[in-house]
Amino acid sequence: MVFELRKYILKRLIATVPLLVVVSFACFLMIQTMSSDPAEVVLRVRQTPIVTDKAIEEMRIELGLDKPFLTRYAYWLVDSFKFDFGVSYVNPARTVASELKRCLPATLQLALASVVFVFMVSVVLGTLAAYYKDSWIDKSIRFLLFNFSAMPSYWFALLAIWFFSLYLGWLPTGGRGGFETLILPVLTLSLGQIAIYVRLIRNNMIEVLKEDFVFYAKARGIGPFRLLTQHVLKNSLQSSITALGMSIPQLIAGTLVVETVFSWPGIGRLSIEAILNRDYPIIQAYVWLIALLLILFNLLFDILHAINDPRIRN
Amino acid sequence: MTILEVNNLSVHFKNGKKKMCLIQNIGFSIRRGECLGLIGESGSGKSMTMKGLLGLLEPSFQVTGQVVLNQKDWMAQKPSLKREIMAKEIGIVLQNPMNSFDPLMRIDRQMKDYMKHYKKLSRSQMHQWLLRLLEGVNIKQGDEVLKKYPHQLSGGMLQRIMIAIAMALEPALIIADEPTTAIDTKSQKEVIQLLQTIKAKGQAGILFISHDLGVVSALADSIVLLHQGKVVEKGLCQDFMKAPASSYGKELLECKLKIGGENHATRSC
Amino acid sequence: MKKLTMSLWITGAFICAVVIAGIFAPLIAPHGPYENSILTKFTPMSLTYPFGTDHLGRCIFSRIIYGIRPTLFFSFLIMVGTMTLGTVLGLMSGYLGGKFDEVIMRFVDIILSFPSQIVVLAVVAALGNQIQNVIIAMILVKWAWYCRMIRGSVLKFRQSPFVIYSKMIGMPTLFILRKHILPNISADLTVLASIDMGWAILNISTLSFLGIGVQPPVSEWGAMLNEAKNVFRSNPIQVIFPGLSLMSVIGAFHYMGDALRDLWDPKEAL
Repeated sequence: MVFELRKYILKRLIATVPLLVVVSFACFLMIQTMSSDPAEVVLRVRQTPIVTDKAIEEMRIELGLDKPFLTRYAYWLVDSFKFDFGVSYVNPARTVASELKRCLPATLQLALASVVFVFMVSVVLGTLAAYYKDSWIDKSIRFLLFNFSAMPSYWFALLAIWFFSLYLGWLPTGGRGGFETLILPVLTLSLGQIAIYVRLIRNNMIEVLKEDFVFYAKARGIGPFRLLTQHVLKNSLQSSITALGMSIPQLIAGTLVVETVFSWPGIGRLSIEAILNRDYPIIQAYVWLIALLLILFNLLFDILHAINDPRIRN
Repeated sequence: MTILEVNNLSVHFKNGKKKMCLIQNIGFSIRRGECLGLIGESGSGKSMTMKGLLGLLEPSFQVTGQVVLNQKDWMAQKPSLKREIMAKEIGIVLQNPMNSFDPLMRIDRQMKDYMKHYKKLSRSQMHQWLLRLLEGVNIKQGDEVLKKYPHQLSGGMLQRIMIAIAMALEPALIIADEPTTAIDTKSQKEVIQLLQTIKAKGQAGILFISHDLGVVSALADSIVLLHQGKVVEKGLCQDFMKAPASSYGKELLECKLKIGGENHATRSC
Repeated sequence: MKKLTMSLWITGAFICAVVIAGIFAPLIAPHGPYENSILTKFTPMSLTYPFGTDHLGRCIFSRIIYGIRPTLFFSFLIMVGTMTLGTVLGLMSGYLGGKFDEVIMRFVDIILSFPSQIVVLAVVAALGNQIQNVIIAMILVKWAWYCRMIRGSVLKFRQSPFVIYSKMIGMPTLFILRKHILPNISADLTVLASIDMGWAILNISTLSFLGIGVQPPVSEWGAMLNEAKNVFRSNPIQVIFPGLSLMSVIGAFHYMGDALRDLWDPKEAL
């Protein structure tokens, strides 16, 4: 059994390489095809008093923009694996890598806390909704989730701040600190995802509950709790867990809004500022980082799925 | 003594405003050591009768009537007590053995998980007991089989494992729902032989549900013929096979004989 | 086609009412959206100012009514763009199959695996922080989703008897696509369009909330919330109405999409 598993893992790892190449090229390409000359942009952002053609030319050489396209791509790719993304256009004293390093932990903390929260809440609500299908429990859960999915998350955040911080004074309004600062941001970030996963889990579970083996288990006298925890959950959560794992990079990308509203010092807020300031290296590195995370998580969860379900390995 | 007595069992399906009657006024009884064949074509309500009397239909199905199991009023029992009775006193064998086991769990776990509660044995004793159960249904390499996952075993083997599980706690009633339909002929023969052995021991009553008249005639003492959810004929199996009383029964038997005699009866007229 | 339920009619009527209100905004709104005055700053709700005024003394109700135009119009553009691109490529990919299908599906896979906001950010970064770039970016992100769905539907119908017959008697491909396949996928398309409008509105408003795309003083609802967040401590009420408007319109589109899908394809129903 272990041998089959190893073969599967190896196969998947090898398949990932061409994907990485294509995606990295796309990332590089995306940023390089822009209308304004980055050299000129940098000069203006740094508030150079007079922007002459000569100055632009010098800046181009400084930024390495005079070299041919593929060479630049090669350099960039190699550098990126050394975690050298160059220097921020806006503030040359800081390297992109150091900026990302500074902000990444905050975002990861938020994203991972959200995943855990989303998982726990979705499993409970999804199971209840599926087991008590069409009852008032099911209907009220779905109604609640429908409202949350129509609600812009930043609006919910503002309302939550108003109620819990300004009115009740229970929680802080923002910033990153102790546990209490994590509550509202995680709640906000999780809402959209919970709606999706409850629906997914509920649908999967309803299908599983119709299966023959559930009937057989019931006919053998198994109680509802054991039925759900020992048989149904494992069979229902297959696709949900993969989807949830895939959502970690989505969550990381989606922290943009939450970080802005709660002044959370993560890479989302960093990238928004980079866009508004046209700090291209940071944006480029950010997009590449997210893409990389996505591919890695995809791989990881495919493998976990294979470990969990013996049928896939064959 | 009478193990199972069913009186006026009816099942209605209710969805919003629609209300449909699916089976009507079904009644029969089974004694210890006796096998009752519940026969009829596909869709006549056989499986629904079984599910209805066990109480395992969805809430949108309304079940009315009286079911007496081992002299106790079954319908009136608490759900937890019902489950205990289902575990200890009813053994069940289903139609699709390939789908009846949890695909993500090993066979040994699926066998012992439910029975641990009623049979307090140590790990090794339990393992030995499982091996003996498997031997009882002619599975020789029990050690190998116990370690496998359902998708790694054949339909016939899984069916025999189901029978082993059904017999394990020495139940009073065994329900077999089309146990021969989804498996190959050789395995069918084995399954019928096993059921005949069980019947011969005389400890349990058997409710045998099938549309295959040939198989039923090999096993059943009496029959109940269903058609469109209603009882059309009741009586001794031998009498029915020789001379059915109802016109529908006559039709069925004619079809069976047209196909090729007693041993190849699968209704497909 | 089954009878449309009452709730579906009500939702449809609501959306139409909103659209009409947006088109006839100057007739409905009591004030102009940009009329500001220090004197009327932070007025509470009254008959003159039904939703009160904001930090620049502008009538919130009027701004919301006028705000229907940018909010819905841009989303509509996105929806039409993605639908067209996605449907055309999905039809071709599903019907023609072969190498073309493979290449397109690779693209679709790659695009779908990216979180949409990242791609939007990247495109906006490359092209500039204007609303047209946001729209282009979002079309580039969402067409893949349509493409995959439509392709799936086309594959289903490609095997149906009337399509095979038409092919056999030599009907031109375009004819088959138009007469046989398109009508059958129109139900799917409508459902997707409805859900997509909801998605587009949500995303455009999120981006304008972050300062990307629509800029103040345009009274797009997300942008209004952006301004409201800055005066949050002094006047928290300003946050309520744009949010409620967003929620009701997005909710209406979601509901319509779900209800239509339940109606036309009960297997997929929740």
